[in-house]
Amino acid sequence: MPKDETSTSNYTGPIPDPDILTAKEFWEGTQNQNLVLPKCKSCKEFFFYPRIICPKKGCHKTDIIWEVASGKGYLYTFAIQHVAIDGWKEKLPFVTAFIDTDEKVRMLSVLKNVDASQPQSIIIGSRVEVKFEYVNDDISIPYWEIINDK
Amino acid sequence: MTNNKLRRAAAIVGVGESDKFGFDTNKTSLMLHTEAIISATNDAGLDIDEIDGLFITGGAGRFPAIAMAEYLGIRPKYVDNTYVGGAGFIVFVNHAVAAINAGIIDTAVISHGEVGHSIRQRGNKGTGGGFNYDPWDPSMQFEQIYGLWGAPAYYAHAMNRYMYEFNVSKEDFAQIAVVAREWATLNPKAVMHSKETHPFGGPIDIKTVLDSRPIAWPLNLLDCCLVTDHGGAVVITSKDRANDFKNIPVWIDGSAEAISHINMSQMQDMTETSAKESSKRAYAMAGLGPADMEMAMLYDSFTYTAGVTAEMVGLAPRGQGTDLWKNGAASPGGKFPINTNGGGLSYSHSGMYGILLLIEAQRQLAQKAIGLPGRQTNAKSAIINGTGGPLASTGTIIVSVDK
Repeated sequence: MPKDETSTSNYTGPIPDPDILTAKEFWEGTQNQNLVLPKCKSCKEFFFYPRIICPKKGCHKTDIIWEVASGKGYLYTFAIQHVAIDGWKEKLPFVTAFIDTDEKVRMLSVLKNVDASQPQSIIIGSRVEVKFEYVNDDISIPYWEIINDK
Repeated sequence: MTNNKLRRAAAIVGVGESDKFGFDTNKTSLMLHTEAIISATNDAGLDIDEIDGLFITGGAGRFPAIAMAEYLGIRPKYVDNTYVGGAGFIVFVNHAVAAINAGIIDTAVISHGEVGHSIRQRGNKGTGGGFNYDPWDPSMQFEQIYGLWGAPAYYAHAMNRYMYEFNVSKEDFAQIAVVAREWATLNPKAVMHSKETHPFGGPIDIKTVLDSRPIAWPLNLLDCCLVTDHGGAVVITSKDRANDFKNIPVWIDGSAEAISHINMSQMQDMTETSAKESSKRAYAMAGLGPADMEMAMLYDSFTYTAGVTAEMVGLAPRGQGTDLWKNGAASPGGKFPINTNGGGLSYSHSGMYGILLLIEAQRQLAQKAIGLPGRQTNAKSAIINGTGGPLASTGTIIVSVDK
């Protein structure tokens, strides 16, 4: 997917140094607005964060493959941050969330386009979809939005 | 898994705190450690040179146990600086019991000193700054990018999920802070004892908690523990030596530890902590159960931590932990006192609070809880549970005195 016309970034948060040893596929995926997740070739289960061993009980094999994920999931829980580290302070208050993706992995992220002043309006269990904020040509940062999709 | 031969293999025989604690102590962390160790060894009647096991975490640099031994001028034959957050001191009891039972050491000192408040004032000046975290560490790669600031940012997610699953409200949790303050008003040493000890000290009600500024919804400021300077230390010795000291032995009937995750994305059910496992093992070692307990010290880094822990250690059914505080059981004069010093919420909390749970339980069981009428309970047994990191680790201790 093409980047926006100017390929400039309004991102002000901390920029991660991509781990090219265990998370290369994940960060490359973000360049194309894809959520790419590690999967154990043996037990066929996805997991997150990326690592060199399958963390599933009874497996712990080391043959890891990568697949483009659905990019959809459910809102497991959220919090409304009123204090933040540098780079996020100007966005206060904002909503952070743990997402359970359809591949059954849980990720911490930010939930955008919700009303941070009305926590009761944000419903746990809502269907969510991943989006990406362009940072530079190496990475985009995943965030999530609530969607109407049963 | 039971290990009954460890039951009463060791006892707590001395406790102590730094000469000053709270805000602006004007001390270093090593001074706080040292004052606490002097106080605890004096309390027990132990010579500092008799310390043969030293268990230290926090506030003493990168090599805490060695640094502390060097500072004191002792050469213990057993050292441990296991780092599992504020639960560490409870976990140390578990380790000390094992080392004592194995015959490796006779007498252990567990110590803590941390300038949680002062470091914020002084800043990381000179050569003190820099954490040297690996930028490829998973938490740096996938969590730090989202702006989360400290423990409340994480705990708030767990509390919200709990509120959703069990239909429990912010008001229900606020009552835990209110009761902690009730205990603090009976304890002149508590940071939030009164207007004399702190401008915002003295009694509070639910509205005070709900009106305090939001930190990370659903956590308000008064749902969060204090950030202070504090030193604390505990002396533990073997069964054979337990009666050689000045205090009545507070026997360690059960001890256990458990861990679950460090990145909170790996916490499968945010409404459960590993205290479920550590308490089960500690009860099994003690041959006791929740019904045998007469009071509890439950790490209250946040109101949520105490509430959910009450359930994990079997003191309340699932979803009903806050009832202990709402129905008066946990309050002064109540039938099941909890956090009788005023807790991390209102007594003191330097960043790693676990040592203060041990100190208060010893004082209650040894009938040495000084303060206003009502502070000293009649409890002869207690369950102590520490929680560390982002609900990541727990240690549970069961203690009792002979009736």
